[in-house]
Amino acid sequence: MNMNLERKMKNEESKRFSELLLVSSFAILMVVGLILGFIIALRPQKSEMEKRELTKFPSFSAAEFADGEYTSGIGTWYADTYPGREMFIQAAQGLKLLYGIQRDAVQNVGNGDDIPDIPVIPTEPVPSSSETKTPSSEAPTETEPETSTETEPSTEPPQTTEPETIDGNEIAKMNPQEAGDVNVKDLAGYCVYGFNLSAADRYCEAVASLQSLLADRNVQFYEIMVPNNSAILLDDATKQAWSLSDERKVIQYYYGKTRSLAPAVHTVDVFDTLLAHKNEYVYFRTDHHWTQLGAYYAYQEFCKAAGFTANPISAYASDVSPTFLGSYVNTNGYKQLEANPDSITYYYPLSTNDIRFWDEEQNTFRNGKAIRNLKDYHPRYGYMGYIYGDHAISYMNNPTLKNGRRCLVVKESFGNCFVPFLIDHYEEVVIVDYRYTSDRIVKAALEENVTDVVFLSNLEAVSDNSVMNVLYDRCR
Amino acid sequence: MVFSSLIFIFAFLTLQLIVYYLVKSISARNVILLVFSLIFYAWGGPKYLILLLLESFISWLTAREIGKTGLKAMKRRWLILDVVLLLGLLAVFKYTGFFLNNLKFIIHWPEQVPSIILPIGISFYTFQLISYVADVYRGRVGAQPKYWKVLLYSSLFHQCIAGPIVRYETVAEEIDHRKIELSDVAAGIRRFAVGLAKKAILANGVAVVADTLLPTDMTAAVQASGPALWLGMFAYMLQIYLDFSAYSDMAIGMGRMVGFHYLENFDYPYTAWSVQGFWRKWHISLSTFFRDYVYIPLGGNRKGFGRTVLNLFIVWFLTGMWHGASWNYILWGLYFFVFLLIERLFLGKLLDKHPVTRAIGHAYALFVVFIGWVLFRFTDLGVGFEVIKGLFGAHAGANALPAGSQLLNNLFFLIFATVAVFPVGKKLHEALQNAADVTDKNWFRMAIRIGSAILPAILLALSVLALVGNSYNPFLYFQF
Repeated sequence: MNMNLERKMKNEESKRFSELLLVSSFAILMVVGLILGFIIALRPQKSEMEKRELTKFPSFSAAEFADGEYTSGIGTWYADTYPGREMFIQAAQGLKLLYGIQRDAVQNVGNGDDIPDIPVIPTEPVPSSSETKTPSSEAPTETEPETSTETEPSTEPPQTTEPETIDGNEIAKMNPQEAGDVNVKDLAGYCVYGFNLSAADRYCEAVASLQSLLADRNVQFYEIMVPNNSAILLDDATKQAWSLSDERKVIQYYYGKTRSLAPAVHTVDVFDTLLAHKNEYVYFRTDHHWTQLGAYYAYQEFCKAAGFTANPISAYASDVSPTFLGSYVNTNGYKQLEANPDSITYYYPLSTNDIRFWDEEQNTFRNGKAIRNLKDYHPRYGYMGYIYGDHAISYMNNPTLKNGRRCLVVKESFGNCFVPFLIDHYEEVVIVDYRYTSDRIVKAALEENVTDVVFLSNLEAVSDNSVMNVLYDRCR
Repeated sequence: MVFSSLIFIFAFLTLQLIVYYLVKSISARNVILLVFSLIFYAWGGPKYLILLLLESFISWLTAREIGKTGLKAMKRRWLILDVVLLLGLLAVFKYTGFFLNNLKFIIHWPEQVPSIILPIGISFYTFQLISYVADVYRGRVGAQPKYWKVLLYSSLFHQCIAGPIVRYETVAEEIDHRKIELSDVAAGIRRFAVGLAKKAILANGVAVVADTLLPTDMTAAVQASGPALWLGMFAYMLQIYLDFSAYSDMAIGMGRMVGFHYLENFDYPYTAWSVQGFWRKWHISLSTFFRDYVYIPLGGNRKGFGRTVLNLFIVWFLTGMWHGASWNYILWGLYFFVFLLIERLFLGKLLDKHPVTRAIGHAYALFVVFIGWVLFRFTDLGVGFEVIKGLFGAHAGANALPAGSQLLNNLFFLIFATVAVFPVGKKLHEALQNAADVTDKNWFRMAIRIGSAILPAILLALSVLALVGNSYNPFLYFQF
């Protein structure tokens, strides 16, 4: 009886205690949240992670107030700039890794257009290779290039200046088209590519259009279509299961179509080259780009077509940034890929590392280094180490060479790690990103009196109709 | 402002509770609740506040006149006036576009259908006010003499915009006489935290699965694979319950924190073994509204079989229409009318015979409800029918890999969300509390008490994580 009563009292006490603890713990959390929310100084202004400016406090207008837009703007601002937001997001993403088994993720299938067969027009002879000896090609042996893992110690410090700070706008412009579909297999991301016939035709028309504008100047045109990582690295069964378009056939279509419109354009096949090196580190796992090693193999093929002797990869000084987490993690949100990060290797050009580029933010040209090792920055920036990312127009001038050849490269971001290889063979390389420039591209070609034009594009990057309309417009 | 937003939780609700607990008199507390409610409502667009003030005024006035007069005919006239005005306003703001679009389809007039914005919560507060005036008319409650108290009832931010549809009689007493015990506050917080987590973590999470897999237009619909549609609709079935019941949980919880006891709105509807059972457990405040204010006044089942069928038809037509101004909702309501009729005729009795028949009934009810959600989800009927075709194997050639991947990627989460629609958590909580009541071991008792005490704070923290981490935060029921 006594025991019972004692237990009952203890139980009542414990209940009361439990209620007090419940109310006070919850109340403390809410008050902390309230106070934190009012400390304006703690609120972040931009998100490094999402590469965007965060919502601003709305400006008042009577009309917007009346229909609730003003207050809804305050709500968005309140949540979007809540102190510690990035930390919360990181934690939330971390929790989501527990939702299931996420080693593979197939969120999309390709389902591209049918690829028409196109007659192959015989290739024109390679332009006569003249005195195109490059500064360091004393031993132009076609030895097997070494793999990227074998990094040579940097013989010379190629960077005399500190890398400039990466501001938010540079970040924002890193990947303007990266919203492409991505699947994950064995903790690596792959582009889910579906062929888009009308965009492909538009692309080829753009190349042909620019070529016709320069036809009377004997400018050599080169077209390089870069396949996606999925086409090179995935096995056939997976490609089929994901309903991916056959990129070898797609590239054949691009080349056939271009040459049917402009027979003088030289097409450079890099598909089989990349395929032959698929066991090397030619594509990233966490980013949609190719590695600079992948770009190097494309450069070798380009040299064959353009009559240059490619420099062996061992000739370049190189640097490694050990961790790179690209767009698949940061934009597509595949947090699980953080468990399988990339490294990123930078190869310095032999002749010069100087670049002058148009800075869209400051509306001025800036001088900098074409290759920068960004290992001291957040791992997400790695690919920005190549020519400062994407800009309307950039120039590289080679002080050590006089061969009369000047090259214009029309590119999207896949070109960024490719163009530094070219400068050793030209007096000047002009780089135009057609998504940023508002000028006609022919203008730059005439101004710089170029002898060569290279169109280098990744298939996914040129599969959007509206972007291709922009390209076509710039090429008129 | 939605409940599942940071500004509501940390700025609005916290401030409201602090101010509320600081003052002691009930009338001051009512003023505080009213002021906060009006701010809450005005947050979604102050111009719509006029409508809420007006409808409350009409209802206050007509109810007062009903209370004053002794003449039945006069009472009736005031009631009709209120109902006509309120339903008229609802029709103008909610159904004009729908009506004119149909007219345009049939007689090609008018050429331009004006787009009228649906004021937030109008479906809910209109029904609350009608129930109030009708209850005064029927003598179930006395008329509230003060306008601002009627406004407090209709605008109370707990339920004004997303339900439950609280009857005036439920809170009439508590408006003027309520006291707050610690146990009430604790229970209210627990309920609110559970609702918040249900919405922010579970409902928003399964919504991502549903949105990933379900088509949004005809082009996508014909390409959707069977497994994708099944899994997507399954996720949607979880989502719609978790989402909607979460709002009711939060409303009931917040009410309890300040001393109001609202009635339950959901009773684990996916445990029902008949369609009728489902509707007794789903959005209870709406189905009882239609029962008490439409079905029974029309004569219910007391006027012969033919009339009963007609009454049921009217009720389910209106139920469908209440959910949205679109044919798919009406079809959805009538779809349930058919099954309810069949159950009334013979199936109900058959299913009730034996535990085995009830188990069969459970599968049958879930299946009927599942297909019902297809009609509900796709406002474009063509897409809805294409989805139903796809569910039953019409899209055999479509790639089913994304569905399999979604399942694996979210496997543990989906299992957890599925368990959450059944009363497992509730039973577990009760069992642990009972164990703590009878145990002799102090440490065991304290462990359970402490665990259950800090759970709401943990749920709040996790919900905030999920809300910040997930910008995806739509609320399904805003359009109703």
